[in-house]
Amino acid sequence: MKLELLHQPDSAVAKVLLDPQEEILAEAGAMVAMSSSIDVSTTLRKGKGGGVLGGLKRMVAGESLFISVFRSGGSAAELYLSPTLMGDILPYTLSGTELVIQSTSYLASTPGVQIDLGFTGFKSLFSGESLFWLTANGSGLALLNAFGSVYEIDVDGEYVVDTGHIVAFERTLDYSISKANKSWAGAFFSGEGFVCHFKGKGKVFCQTHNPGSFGRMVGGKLPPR
Amino acid sequence: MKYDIRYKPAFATIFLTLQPGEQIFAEAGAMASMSGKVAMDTGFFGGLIPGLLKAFLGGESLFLNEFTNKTQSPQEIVLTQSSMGDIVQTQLNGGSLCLQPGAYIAHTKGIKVDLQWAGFASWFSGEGLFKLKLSGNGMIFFGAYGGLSEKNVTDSFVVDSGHLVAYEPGIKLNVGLSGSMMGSLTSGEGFVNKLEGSGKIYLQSRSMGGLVKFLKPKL
Amino acid sequence: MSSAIAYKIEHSPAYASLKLNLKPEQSVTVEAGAMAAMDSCIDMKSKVKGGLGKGIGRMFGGESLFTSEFTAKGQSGYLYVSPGVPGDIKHYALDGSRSLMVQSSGFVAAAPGVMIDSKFQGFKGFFSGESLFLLKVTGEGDFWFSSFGAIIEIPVDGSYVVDTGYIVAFEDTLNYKVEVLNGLSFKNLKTSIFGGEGLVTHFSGSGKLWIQTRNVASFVRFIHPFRPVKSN
Repeated sequence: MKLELLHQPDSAVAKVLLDPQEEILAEAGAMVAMSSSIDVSTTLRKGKGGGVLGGLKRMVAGESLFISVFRSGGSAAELYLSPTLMGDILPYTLSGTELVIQSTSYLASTPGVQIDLGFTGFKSLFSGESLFWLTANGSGLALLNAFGSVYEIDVDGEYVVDTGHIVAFERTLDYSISKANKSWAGAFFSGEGFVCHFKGKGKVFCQTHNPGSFGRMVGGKLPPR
Repeated sequence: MKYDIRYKPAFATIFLTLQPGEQIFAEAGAMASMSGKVAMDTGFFGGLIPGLLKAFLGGESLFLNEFTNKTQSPQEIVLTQSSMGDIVQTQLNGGSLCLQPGAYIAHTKGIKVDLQWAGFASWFSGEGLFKLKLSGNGMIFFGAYGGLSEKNVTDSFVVDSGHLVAYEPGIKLNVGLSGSMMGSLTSGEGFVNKLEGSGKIYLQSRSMGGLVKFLKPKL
Repeated sequence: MSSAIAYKIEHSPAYASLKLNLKPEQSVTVEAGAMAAMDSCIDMKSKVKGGLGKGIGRMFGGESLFTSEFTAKGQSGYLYVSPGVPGDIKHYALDGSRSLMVQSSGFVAAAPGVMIDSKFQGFKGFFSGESLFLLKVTGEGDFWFSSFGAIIEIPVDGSYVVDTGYIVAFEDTLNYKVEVLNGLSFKNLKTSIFGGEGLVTHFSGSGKLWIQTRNVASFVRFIHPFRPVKSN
């Protein structure tokens, strides 16, 4: 498999060149264009425990993960994958360390990477964020997307990230969520909402823009639904 | 204070290094991430304004955050804006700059931030009743939805409302309909701003109005 | 035959903006509402392309056929044109040998010798947010189209599959067929999520195809929960 990332960081698209009989998993709906020889099938990824995610009943966009499996036939084939929001794509190679990924940041992964839903480290404190988190394990490549550009912080000590700006982080880090300010009034007015304090050693991948803020800004100007 | 505006113009983001004792003021929500040792405090924009007026500000929240480095070594902070787009830094040396609602991101000590009445015509055209006037000595950061271009107006220039981001006080705004009433409605141009005077203006290459107009039929 | 219009595409590819330099008495037709700024010597007239009958009621898929005609009066002047969504702008010179099929909301500007016809595709309503109207652009002269996201040019020679939401434009020398690709559709998984119909366009033949790297229907789905709720 060969990977080429085009149009970074504004509107990144992943051009995947599959060898014969090769497979890649991607978030359903990510396919832009492909050689006609590629075979596709789509399944619903369920949460831990094999049962259907409790959240399935609500079906809010983002609470369940539909995965499409793209398989090339007898000859090499190409496939273009794109995320929903404008922004960059980050390739991350897994080899032992568990990676926690924000659900809307998952774009694609190779079959050796195990994607699981149901990471309950962060309880739903995020009003309006409707985020949930995935864990990636195993070995292979994971493609993550961001709203905006991605910047990597090598934490060695203490670092604070606004929760709407987290793309993914390595599980070697300790993390705790709190309001940005000491007082509740401060937190409400500051607009910072919730932040995550990372401690220890490990990488955090941040996105420069916050989908929730942008969504509210544009959504607020649209006719009611 | 060292700053670096990265990822221009698509997702411009300010990477700042605060030296010991230094501080920066930024609009609510602008902090994306920062070193764990930066202290954050919240205050109000230029005096107390009743909360009801906030609705008319059309994009500029009333609250400011103050980030201070109270340690002995340089600390980093990353500032961004709600909309995707370009960011420009400019130095004011006694002069002033007027900003459209939503454009303001951050400023350093020495800059005075004032809310000014922009007039009903401005409200009609969707630009809000107030505008921000920044003056004094120091750095200011402002952003846009889209790419930012700087232009020197010498006499007159026509701008579609929604694409004007910032302008020097020497420029006078005249908001009106682009043609006859009917012509404006069908053409979609709606309100335009005929600028007169001389000074610098900043234009953004996209407008929220344009995005909303694009999305509406697709909802 | 009108002379070529001098232009510059700025802020590409994220927020491409078209800067046109019109010579005295030169005109250009621009999408309704796309004018960002202009010199005051430029005159604007509202027009309905293709005659009044065709313009009215043509509000499907984001492309009302209301256009504005800008003419520089007395001296040359600059005209800045901006599309609504973040994305790129590309120029295409029509020379009469072939037509260009353009996605319905992709029209930015055209020189007076260019004709635009809206050509219905038959699958309207399947997607929320992406009706499949195509504009057929013929004639001779300069033409500019825009995208949502960056543009990738693909020289098709054989066959190629594209998700319909990502098509920007293609030369009419290509044959195309819209169909449902079963493996992409998750309608049968009994969910009520928007989209997922799995509609793709199968291209065959030889010609140029332009695709965009983002898709409006997905963006509309993303924005949906942020919209104000209608109160009863």
